[in-house]
Amino acid sequence: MKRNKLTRILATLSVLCLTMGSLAGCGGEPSQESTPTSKQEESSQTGSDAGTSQGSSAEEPQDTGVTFPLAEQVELTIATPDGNVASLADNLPVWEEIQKRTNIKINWDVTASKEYVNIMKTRMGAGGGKLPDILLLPNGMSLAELGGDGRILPLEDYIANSENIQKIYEQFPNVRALTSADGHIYSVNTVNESAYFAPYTFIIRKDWLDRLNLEVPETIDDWMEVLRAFRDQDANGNGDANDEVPFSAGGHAWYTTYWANAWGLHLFQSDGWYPDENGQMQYEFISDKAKEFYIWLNNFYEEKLLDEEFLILGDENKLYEKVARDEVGAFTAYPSRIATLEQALAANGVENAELIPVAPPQGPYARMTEVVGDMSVNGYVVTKDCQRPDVAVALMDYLMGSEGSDLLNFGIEGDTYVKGNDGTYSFTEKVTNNPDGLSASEVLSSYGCQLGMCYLKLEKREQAMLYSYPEELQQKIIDATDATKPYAVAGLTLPPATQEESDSISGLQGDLSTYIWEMTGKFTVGTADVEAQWDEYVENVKKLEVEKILAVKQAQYDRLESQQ
Amino acid sequence: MKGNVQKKVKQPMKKRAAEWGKRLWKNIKRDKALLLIILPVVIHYLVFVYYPMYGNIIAFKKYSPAKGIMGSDWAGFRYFLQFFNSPYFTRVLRNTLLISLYSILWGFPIPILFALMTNDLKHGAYKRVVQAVSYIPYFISTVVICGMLVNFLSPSSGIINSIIKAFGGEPINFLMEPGWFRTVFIASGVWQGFGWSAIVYLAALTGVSQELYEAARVDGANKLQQVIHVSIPCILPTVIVTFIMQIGTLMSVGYEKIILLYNPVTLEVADVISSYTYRTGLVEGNYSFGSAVGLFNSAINLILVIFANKLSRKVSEVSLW
Repeated sequence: MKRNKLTRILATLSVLCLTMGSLAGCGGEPSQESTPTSKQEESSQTGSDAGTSQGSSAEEPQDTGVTFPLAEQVELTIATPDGNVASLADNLPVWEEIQKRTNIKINWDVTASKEYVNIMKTRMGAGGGKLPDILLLPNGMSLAELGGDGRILPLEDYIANSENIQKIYEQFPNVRALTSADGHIYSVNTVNESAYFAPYTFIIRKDWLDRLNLEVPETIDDWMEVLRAFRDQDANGNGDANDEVPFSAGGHAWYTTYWANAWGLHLFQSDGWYPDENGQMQYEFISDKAKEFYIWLNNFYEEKLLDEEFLILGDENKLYEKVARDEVGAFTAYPSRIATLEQALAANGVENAELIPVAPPQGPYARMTEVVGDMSVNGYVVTKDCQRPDVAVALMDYLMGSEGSDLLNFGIEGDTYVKGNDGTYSFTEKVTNNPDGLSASEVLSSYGCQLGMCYLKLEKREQAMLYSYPEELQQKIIDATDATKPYAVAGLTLPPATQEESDSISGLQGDLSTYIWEMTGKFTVGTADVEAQWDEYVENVKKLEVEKILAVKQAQYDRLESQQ
Repeated sequence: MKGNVQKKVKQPMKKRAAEWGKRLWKNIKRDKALLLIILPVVIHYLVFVYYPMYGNIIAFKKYSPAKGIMGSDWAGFRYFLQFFNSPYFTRVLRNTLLISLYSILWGFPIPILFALMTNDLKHGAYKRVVQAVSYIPYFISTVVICGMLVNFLSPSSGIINSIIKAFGGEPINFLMEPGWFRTVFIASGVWQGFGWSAIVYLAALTGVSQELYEAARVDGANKLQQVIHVSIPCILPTVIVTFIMQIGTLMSVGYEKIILLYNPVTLEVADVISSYTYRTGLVEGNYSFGSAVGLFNSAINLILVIFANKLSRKVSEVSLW
């Protein structure tokens, strides 16, 4: 009897725990401090009176400007995605040098690059605790919202005195608009001088083409011919005519939309949001051209030209593994990837494997390739918890200048690169022919180059980088760049939405992108019939309030146009 | 009895309180070891379960991290309505319930059968090995399990399809066929969890008195009859308690494994409430919405547990409370 009672009590307890556990699962972390600190109030006030350029921070030595090295050491905490080759936390040489030259002590708050966005978003959302002084804005968070509630500081007052950042604004007229929201500048972004150098493109196995006596494809129809030949014949020459995957793509239904460039659609880089010739924003995923593209894509899959595993490959690395196994005829990637892939193929015993970048094909409506814009979408912001925003911005300015650029692009002079008398830069043997077998970009990354903060991606770095590749590859990349340049179209990056705008479409974009993602997959594989279900698809997209989102995009686009 | 109570009531309050305190103290002193054992659990629940529950308020607020939980503006039932009116509501609800029901259908009886079978293994070392092997998969991380599934089920190089091809069949692209999703998801779940879930039944089975089996054998019962008439009735209370608790998780299918296995083609059958909330709540930083969905789930789960408990008390006289 007694035992029975005990069991009952235990059981009751455990069921209580169970239900409580499930209830608590959805609770958010309470914020320790919901009252803003006085400092934050001051700074947000500075933000709201746009007229007064000098707010409470007048006492700070911002008039005189900050000169490096600082007389007195300042500590800054920087949150950023970590390097994949070496961790910033291990005092990488380039960052040691920067700290020495500026007398700033940097405390790294790093996260594995893949996890950065999710982790940082959660940290920003949890509210409690201290934020790092400087952080890379995680993708999807709005400058207007963070600036509006005072979590990040407006930087325009400091930037006004920042020589190098001002120079960037002159050189890249879009940048100012793209880093501003509600009339304030909130972030400093990495800017790319070399957006058009060796852009993302189609890559094909030249040795497979040669084995089957085929030409490099020029049009979509050529591509179909070539890929059919890869499918039907023994292109890799191993005696089995059935183990070739003509075209593979990694991970996401999104990768296949790269082909849509040939239909004049901007689905790949601009996510379908693109203005027509009259400056009216369109959602190209529901255009008539998109319908034709999907019909083609479905046929592409049905003919078994597209890898039947394209949706389950996970990420690009799975794709590259497949390429290295000598199974894939063509795919899309950055041409700089070729060197590593050819090495991997050779390591797997494939002789004379040759990959070449191919200029975009002529399609039914266009011959073009969307190129990432010349600015990273997200930049570095200074948070309310930063005691010395003047120093933070001065550091950013330093990194965007020539000294910082040299360090972040080329590494340490005399160690990783040398300057010629004529002002040209070249990498040392240590980079181009690394004794440990690392690729040039891996070596530079292990020094801390192009990591940690905003910088100016120099075109001359990309050119110097070329010399680290085998000679034939250098020529191939130069040829591909030249061949692609006439067809390159910059992807559209819109300036941040205002608080009001993002409120009006809150929650809509997620549902829409889920639907587009799902339908792109279904149209491709054929579980949804393009011809029969197109009208229903367009109708559903409209039901997901695409018009509302378009209105906001239009306003953003107009702001971009007017500031140019 | 009655007089005694009357007397007590007449005593002054102070004295009663003192007496009660004394008795409590005596009990505490007597059971201090037991109380010490339960203390970490109580603290755990207070800190990690009861205290965060106050955060549920944000389900009714337009939560802004800068303003904090108390400082954010009230939004009423806005986020609940947003969820109910979402075009995906019926789909994710249906998928969640179906995956849960099938999981219980397959995942519930198998550990019991396994426990009954292992219990009859007489060789000690062999029994331990079988048990260990069966519950080791439980400790493999979900990410690794999903990686294994993707590799094993690959239509070009996976072992399953190699076997199918060896027998002359057509390879099946398991992870891109909506029809296969639930089977793959549930079968791998059962494989991973059955050994672990069987532990509680095995523990209950060791508690069954050997005398009962002896008596049954004397009565001429064979092995099967012993299982049906001795083992099962003895572990029935455990079975029912576990079952009621499982009913309480009907609305919760974890999102990790789902998002690692789904893709646009299988989304139709794979998208569950938690993966939907993950996308709209966490990825887009819509914390209030996420909390509202979570709270809704918990409420349904609680109702289901109460219902299951009531039902069980009526039919079998075994219940949680």
